[in-house]
Order: sequence, then structure tokens, then C-alpha cells
Amino acid sequence: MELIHIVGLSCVVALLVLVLREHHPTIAFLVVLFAAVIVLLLIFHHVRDAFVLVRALAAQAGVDEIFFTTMIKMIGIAYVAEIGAHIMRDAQLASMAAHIELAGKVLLLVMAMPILTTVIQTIAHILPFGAT
Amino acid sequence: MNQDMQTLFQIAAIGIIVAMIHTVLKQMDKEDYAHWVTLIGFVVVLFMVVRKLNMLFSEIKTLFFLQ
Repeated sequence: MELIHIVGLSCVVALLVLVLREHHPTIAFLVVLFAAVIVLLLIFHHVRDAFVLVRALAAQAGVDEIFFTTMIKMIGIAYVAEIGAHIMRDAQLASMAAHIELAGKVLLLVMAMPILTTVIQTIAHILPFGAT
Repeated sequence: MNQDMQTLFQIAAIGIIVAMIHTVLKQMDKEDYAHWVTLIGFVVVLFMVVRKLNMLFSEIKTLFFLQ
């Protein structure tokens, strides 16, 4: 049961941070960062398993490989932006967190551009009035 | 997991010990040494965290096909 490990680890980290914060806020922040990295590394093994399943399902449904890869990339960008924003909020840098989120949104839009173009071209082909 | 927990406690211990040394050196009127000790402790901890962070980012890169 991995969840119990993670919850126990967070309790220990909370205790350590409460002790450290009065003397040494920077090292307390580094403890939080390290714990976040440990938890994410624990979780990503399972994410990999889930992706294997989703990839198999997509191959069975005949989804184009490029679309699937782009989708996974977009999920990754969203994850990374979220992680970065949360870490910045932990360091009480809310404006930096907002900037990271904005950058994530823009990069997602740029990454979705080819798919969006394909969709628009498909719709233009379906439409009856002249747009070839 | 075990190794990670060990490193986590190491980081916390470094923080507490550095704070103690800082206080002691301050009491002995050696402010400049106290600041150096703080800085060195911070850099050591930063190295540990950055190594782990590098592992996380490379994992993310391979997992989500981000180059």
C-alpha cells in the first residue's frame, strides 16, 4: 500500500518543516522540495503503467500515433506546470506561480496547434459552401 | 524509498545542526563565520536536492516524450 507510505512521509515532512522553519526557512523549503520529488518519483511508475494501457487501447481503436504522442506531451506539460506552480506557491511566490501557469497554457496552445489545424481543415472540407 | 527517507532526514539534520552552529558562533561574536557556515550548509543541501530533481525531470522527459 503505497498511499500509506506517502501520507506517512508527508506527516514526517510537515513535522520537520515546522521544526526547521523558525531557524532556517531556506532549508525548510528544500526539505519540502525534496519530499515533493520523492512522492512524484514514487507515483510516476504507476503513471507509466497507465500509459501502457492507454497506448494499447489507442492502438486498438486506430488512433494516429502522432495525435496520441501529442496528447501525452500535453499531459506532461500540464503536469510540469502544475508542479512548478505549486512549488512556487510553497515558496510564497504567487506571482511566479501565475507566470508558470500562463507559460504552461501558452505552450499547450502551441502544441495543440497542428491538431487544431487538422480539425479546422476537416470542418472546412465537410462544409458545403466552397471552402476547399 | 528507504534511501530517499535517509536523505530527507539527512537534509533536516543538516538544517538543524547548521542552525545550532550559527547560534553558537553568533554568541561568540563571530558573525562572519556564522554566515559562511550557513551558506555552506545550504549549498550541500542544495546539491542533494538538485540531484534528485534532475532524476525527476529526466523521468518526466522519458515518460511524457518531451524530447
